[in-house]
Amino acid sequence: MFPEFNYYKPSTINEAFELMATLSDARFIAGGTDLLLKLRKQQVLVKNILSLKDISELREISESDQGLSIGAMATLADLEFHPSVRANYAVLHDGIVNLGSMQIRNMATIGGNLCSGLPSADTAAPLLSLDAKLEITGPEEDYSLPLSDFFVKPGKNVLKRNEILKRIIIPAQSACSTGAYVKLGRRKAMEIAIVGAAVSFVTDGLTDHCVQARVALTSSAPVPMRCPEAERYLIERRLTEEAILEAGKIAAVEAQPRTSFRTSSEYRKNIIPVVVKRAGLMALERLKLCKSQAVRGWNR
Amino acid sequence: MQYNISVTVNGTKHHLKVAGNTTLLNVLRECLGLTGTKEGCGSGDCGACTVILDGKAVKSCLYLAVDTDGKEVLTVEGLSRNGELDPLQIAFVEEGAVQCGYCTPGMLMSAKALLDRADGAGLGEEDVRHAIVGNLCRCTGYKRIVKAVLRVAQHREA
Repeated sequence: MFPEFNYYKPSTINEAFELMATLSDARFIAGGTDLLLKLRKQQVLVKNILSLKDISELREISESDQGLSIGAMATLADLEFHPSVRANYAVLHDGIVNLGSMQIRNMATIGGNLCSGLPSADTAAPLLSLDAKLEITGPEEDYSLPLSDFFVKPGKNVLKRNEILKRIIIPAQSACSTGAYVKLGRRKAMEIAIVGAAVSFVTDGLTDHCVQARVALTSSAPVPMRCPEAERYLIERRLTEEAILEAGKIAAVEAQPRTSFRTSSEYRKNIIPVVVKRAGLMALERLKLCKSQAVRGWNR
Repeated sequence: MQYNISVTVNGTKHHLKVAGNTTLLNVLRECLGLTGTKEGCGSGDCGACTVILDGKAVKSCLYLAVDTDGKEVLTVEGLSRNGELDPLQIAFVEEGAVQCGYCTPGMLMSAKALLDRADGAGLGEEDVRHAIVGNLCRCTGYKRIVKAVLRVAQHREA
């Protein structure tokens, strides 16, 4: 049983702002798979909960030439079965299917996963590797910022109490760029990552030389992180297993993992290159497949 | 605060008054007497509380009753029709997929959600295992559960 609370269900963003302004000791709730658990364990106590579930504009997913716009209240299952996410944003799809279980993904939202501020958030590294931006709305102003600027410390993001994450915007990716996310855990599912790595490449189209790389990690620092040195290492290099592993070693130096009850920081430092390598090789395989389809004239 | 909800459970509409902190699991077991859905952990891990909400499998121990207003819930009690077991239930029995039975209602609902979503499209072992990954079983080792679900899937495909 959860502690008692009052529950409100605004149907518009403005209604949510008005309620938040009148209520002391109130929090927004998305899917609830994180907050309700904290309430049950009394890690969080709150008198008033404002659900964002009935605000339909927060759940819209749309694609254009500019990229993919995902409402923060889109469930992970909405995205898992969205044809464009699987086809064009495979690295994000990997992060999603590795999260929880089907039941959890039917309830949990992408916005909630990011707003948890957990260093292990499985959608965070893929979205970092896709250069995602966030659109945030508040009673005073709307603004956008790169996802990399969203996380402050474990469990904390930049949102003020009365602000709402509205949308996640993924810019359109280059043709035949692709990525992959690999999550290492003690179990195959229903697990918090020991380490997760999202690796994306863009190559010059004819050879395997890298023109753009993204390496992002979960559970490797106080917040989900990009690895700019590892990325720089890969630019203009031919993408081989050795090069990707070397990038992983550089990423491990950039990482600041902690010792938790799941594993030690030493183990994380040692395993990061392996997980980066696995993700990189998976991305490379997808890139090859994409190129062979392009040569045969198959459209994406 | 109490909230009025109108929720359809196994085809029957119920008008209920619930507290904000009441879970769907509480409502099913305590208010409606449908004790087929189990509380194994209360923390969304074991899946014994799985039900189907508007066609999707959810963990009822982490789903607030107040959010079920206007929705449809299917529990394990709703699988059988006119006293006849659902093909999934028959398959579970015949394939030996039930030992202590505690995970079984949740497993059945996850499996049913998968089969209904797939709508006959070819399902393999990996698809079934992916669908039940949120349902823990301490007894069977999952093999017979997977076999039972695949049996029904193949029958539907045919």
